[in-house]
Amino acid sequence: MADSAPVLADAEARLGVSPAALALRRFMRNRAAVLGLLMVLGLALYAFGVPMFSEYPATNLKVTSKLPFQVAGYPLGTDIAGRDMLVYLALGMRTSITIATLVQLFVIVVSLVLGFIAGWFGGAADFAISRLAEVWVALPGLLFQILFIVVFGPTVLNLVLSIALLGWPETTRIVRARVLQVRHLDYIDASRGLGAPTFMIAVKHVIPNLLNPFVIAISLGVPSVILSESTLSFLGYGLSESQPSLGKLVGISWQYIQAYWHMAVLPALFLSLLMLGASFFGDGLRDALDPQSS
Amino acid sequence: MLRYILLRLFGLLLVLLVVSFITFGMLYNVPGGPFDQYEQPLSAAALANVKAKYNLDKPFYVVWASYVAHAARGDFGTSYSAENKSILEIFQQQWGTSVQLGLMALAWSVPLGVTLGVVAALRPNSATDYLVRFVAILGTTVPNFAIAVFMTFLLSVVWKLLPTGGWLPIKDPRTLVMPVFIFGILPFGVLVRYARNGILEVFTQDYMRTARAKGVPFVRVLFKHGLRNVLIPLITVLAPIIPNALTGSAILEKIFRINGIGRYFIDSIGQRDYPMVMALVLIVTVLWGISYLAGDVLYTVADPRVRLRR
Repeated sequence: MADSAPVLADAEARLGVSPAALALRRFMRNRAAVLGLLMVLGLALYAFGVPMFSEYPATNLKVTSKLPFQVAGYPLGTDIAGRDMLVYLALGMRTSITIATLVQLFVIVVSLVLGFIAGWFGGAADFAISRLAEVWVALPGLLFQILFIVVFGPTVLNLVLSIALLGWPETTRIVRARVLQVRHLDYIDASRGLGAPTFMIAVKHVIPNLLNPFVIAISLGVPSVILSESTLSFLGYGLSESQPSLGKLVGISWQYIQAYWHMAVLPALFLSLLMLGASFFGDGLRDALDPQSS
Repeated sequence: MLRYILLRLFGLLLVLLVVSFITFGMLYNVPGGPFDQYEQPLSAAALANVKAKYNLDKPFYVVWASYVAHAARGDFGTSYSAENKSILEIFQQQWGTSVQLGLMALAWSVPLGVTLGVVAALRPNSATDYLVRFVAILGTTVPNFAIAVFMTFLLSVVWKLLPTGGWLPIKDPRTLVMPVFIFGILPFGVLVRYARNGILEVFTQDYMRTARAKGVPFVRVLFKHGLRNVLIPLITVLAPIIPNALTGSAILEKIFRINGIGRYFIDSIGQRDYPMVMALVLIVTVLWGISYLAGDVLYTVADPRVRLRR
């Protein structure tokens, strides 16, 4: 596959097949990638679908057994506070997915703006942004995130910011490098010569040029964002009590693992599946968009 | 070379200044101070005295400057929570355990990861290759604490083979098994991936085919040409792996109730133990900086064509 793909791509490109269609075809032929996509879609459907049909918060459920497969109507059991695990796990995954989306949106905007400014204008702006990114990378990640949460409080917004603030240097570097490569292409120079506003050149000519590496970097970053949220919540520095989170549930369930194993094992399992799916999907996307890389 | 190293060390000093400034600024704005009282509050005069003793009555940049001046002379102050113990003393007590954990994890994961990565690359798309890659993907994707949950559930709760926590290297070596295994699984996965890709890539090179065509034994080709070319990516990935392993794991130390430096850091933030947090952040930053520098210098050893310049 790795050897034949570029040759094939050339041949098909000459036949007038668009690069997007080629990428889609490569993606669909990659079994792990399709599996990853299906896993993410299935889990997302569960995460956003199940809570719609249940009356959450169903706390203090009085059931004869908390364990899974014991009581009809509660197939995954209930937790120590009497919450239906089937619903709580869905809500926890909803948190993971929402936070991952918000973080990556933030990273997308910040790194496009900063990376473009650094690459396009150069000089002092480039110096300031590049040095800031270098120092930022030297910050100890987890420690910084915990400090950030402690200082500003455990809200969704602060959690998103604390994770996103560590993610921007890498993608900004990618954007900047690509802007440097393309900014003196003939048609971009021509566009500038005709007096097109910088913003328009950025949106119409520059950003389409860096879309592939950028999309790859963003999608490959998703599992580590989910990991950050769950790790912080696991350590007790994530979201506040009222917010459902898989990492937090694992953290508090640890002490009950002898009696109520499902309270720790199930959220850990769902979290792992979500991250594996996102990771397979990201790898597949990279192989599809950039066949030479694999 | 020496000039380059000195320049880099100077750059590290600047980074330390900035990192300490950011951390200090954040710590100073943490809600709840180290000497807040909820029951039996101190009189205003006594509180002012305590704050003056620890310099907490001054603006933050003054405290920061004084901290930097002391830290430069190797004086990181005393911990707020463990009275009368200097930060360095506490480090000596806590860090040993984390270093043990980190070294043991690296001791199995680095050699095994490289070996299996090479083995997988020699038979691409074989059953061995798929198995090794599958384990590596699990190791790099599944969070440490999730692996810890699964293993504890199976090995401790169901089969009752291993204890659920503790760190008793001599009295009960069984306590080491899970933390050492889980701490090493991420580096293992990363090394498998890089070693495998590196070998696959080098085997497409012309000089490899030439060497084999002229009759050089396969093992010799592998060690002399193959592994040498994998060294550069390996140095790149080991540069962050080693300091990471040596600074402990807050997660695993919490799960398995190990008294290491990672867990201590988390507790220090909760207790608003500013000097402790500062010292830890700075030491971690130094370790990372030196590790990346060492990696860059080792590039020149692994590949004489590499020239360091800035």
